[in-house]
Amino acid sequence: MTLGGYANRLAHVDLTAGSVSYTPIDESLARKYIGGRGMGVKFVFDNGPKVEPFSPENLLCFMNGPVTGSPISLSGRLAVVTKSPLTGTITDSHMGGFSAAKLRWAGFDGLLIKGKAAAPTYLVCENGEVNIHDASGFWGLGVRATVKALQEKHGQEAAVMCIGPAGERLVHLAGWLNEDDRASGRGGTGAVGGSKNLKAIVVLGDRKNQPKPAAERKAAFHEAHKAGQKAILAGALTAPKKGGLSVYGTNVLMNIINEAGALPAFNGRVTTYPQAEEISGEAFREHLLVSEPVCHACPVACKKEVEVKEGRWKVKTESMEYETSWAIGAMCGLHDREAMAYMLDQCNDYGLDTIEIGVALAMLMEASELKLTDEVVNWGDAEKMSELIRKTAYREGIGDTLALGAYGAAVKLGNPDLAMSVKGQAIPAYDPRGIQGIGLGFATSNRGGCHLRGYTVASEIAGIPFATDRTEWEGKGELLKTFQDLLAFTDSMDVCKFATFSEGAAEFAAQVEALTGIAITPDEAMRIGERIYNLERYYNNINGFVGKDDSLPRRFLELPATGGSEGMLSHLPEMLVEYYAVRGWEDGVVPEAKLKELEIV
Amino acid sequence: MVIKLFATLRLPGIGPRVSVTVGENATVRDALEALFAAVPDLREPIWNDGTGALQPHVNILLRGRLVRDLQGLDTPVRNGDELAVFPPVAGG
Repeated sequence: MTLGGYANRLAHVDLTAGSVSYTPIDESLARKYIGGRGMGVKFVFDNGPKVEPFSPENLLCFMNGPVTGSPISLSGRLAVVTKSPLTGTITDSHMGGFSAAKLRWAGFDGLLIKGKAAAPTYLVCENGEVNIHDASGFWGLGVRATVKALQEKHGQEAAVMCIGPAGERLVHLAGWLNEDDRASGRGGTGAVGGSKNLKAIVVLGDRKNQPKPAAERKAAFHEAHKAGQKAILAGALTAPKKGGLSVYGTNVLMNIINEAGALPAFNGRVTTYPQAEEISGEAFREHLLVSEPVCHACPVACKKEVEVKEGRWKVKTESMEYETSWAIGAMCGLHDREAMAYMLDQCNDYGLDTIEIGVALAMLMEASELKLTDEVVNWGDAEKMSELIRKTAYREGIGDTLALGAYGAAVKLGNPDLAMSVKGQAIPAYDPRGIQGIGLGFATSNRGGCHLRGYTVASEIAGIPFATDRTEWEGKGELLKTFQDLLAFTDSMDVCKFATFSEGAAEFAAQVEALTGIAITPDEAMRIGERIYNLERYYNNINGFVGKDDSLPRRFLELPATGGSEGMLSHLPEMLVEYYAVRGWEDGVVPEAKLKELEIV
Repeated sequence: MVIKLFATLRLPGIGPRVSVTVGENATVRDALEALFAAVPDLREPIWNDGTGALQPHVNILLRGRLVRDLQGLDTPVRNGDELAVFPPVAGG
């Protein structure tokens, strides 16, 4: 292997056989898919798209990219890639903190996990070796207790990624969390771990093994690193202790999205929440903030740890994100910050996706109002919500229904239209009526309802990298494709989405080229992103997903928005025509000619 | 009219709302000038004297619409209106 940056080592773990083997990185694959999400998607595709998510044959990948753990800014990310039990699509879900960096420092580009252990198991990754250990003593523990026990055993410096009770019970919205409460929350990747009897992954890595460029590219690497760092430090959004993201965290968005009338509330029946200010980043900073933790190589510090010092909701937890505040707040008609902090902590400890649970609870509240269930769940009833979060994690009573996610639960209750979900995954905190492009993004996301595949909100609200009118639908197809392709590339490096608020394809391509030696132009970076996006789509097509699945809940097409977006509806049908044209897809399907053009087949 | 301020624009001692008076046929630009007259410390984070424009990614909403999507700083305002002024914000 001639490429720099990579550890050049993948661990293949067979939990059924209890064996581990190792292979180097295939250089041609690295050039085509980079690493992280891209390479993980390729491995999951090659494993066979028709695999059942909970079968031992499903492949569960923990993938670093070539810059993970390097000095490159915001490079503390890894991708968990697998077939989702929530959606039946391919999925990737990324976590921050230091686990990814330590996995790279431990000598790995990725862990490819198959099979099913006969008994609860955890992995220990150190010095390029993976060992399989008995996790019987940890099964049943929450995330915090699991982390504590494994750090007591393997050292306080150990990174621990684990599932909680929800993942053990194959709850479809279960994720992986690490010792810093950073989560690969979406898509049910934690439930796939549970189906394999895999409780945790312990990583021991030494910073001295940071990825380094080849000697002849040292100067180029230094330059590329500094250029990116300078952009982050000077960025209007990312500047430490100055930019809105740094000072208030992601929840700085609550007020502007609400002002625009694009904040789904009460399960999306309205698009403005009168108490948005009370659950905003500004309010959490004023009343509950206690610390501002960081991830590897990140000066932004967008994480916001909050503490309720006494009373019913006494808790200390991180991080109160915009998505969480919206999902268990506005979406459920709740504005009790202290109760919300407590519920965030519950989700973190049980190992649940806060977006999916909030949207599922909102769906249940509406179903309760419509008498579709005997369960009485009133809007904003914090005690009931907290109880239902626990019941979901443990699959008790109605929790066994909620464990299917908002959509699965709504189907079971007899009205799928009540679920604000796409392809079975809950939408995040932007209303498709008030922000046209992101609605198209939700509909065409390859992992189901998601803002992170193509974050057009950057353009439609913040004006980055250029401003577009959030109320206009024309041109959003091309805009979305650009965002989707760029983010597929950065997810494969793997750097944080927020790097894209201050850097572009030119900076990212220069960083990858300097570190790895892969000659790459900004256009080629975009083409790699496009290849990844099309491969994911091809995977989903093989599983039967076509144009009709690129949809939105009917509410967004039929029930007019309120507040700052009063009267608006999503123009999804018109945008889809435009989008498929720029993608070169036919009714949501990638034609063979496109697969060949992108060298996928 | 009321100008609502958010995030880092909430200066100590000023708070989240500032009332200003504008004349007939006033625009967003006039409202901002009235704001800067009332609270001079808000000029620098909102306005770039060098470029004669808003600071990059400062966003202003009038009745839910970003004024950049209307007539920009020339968008008409009335005394009953509320303007929402945001420093650069994004997240996700």
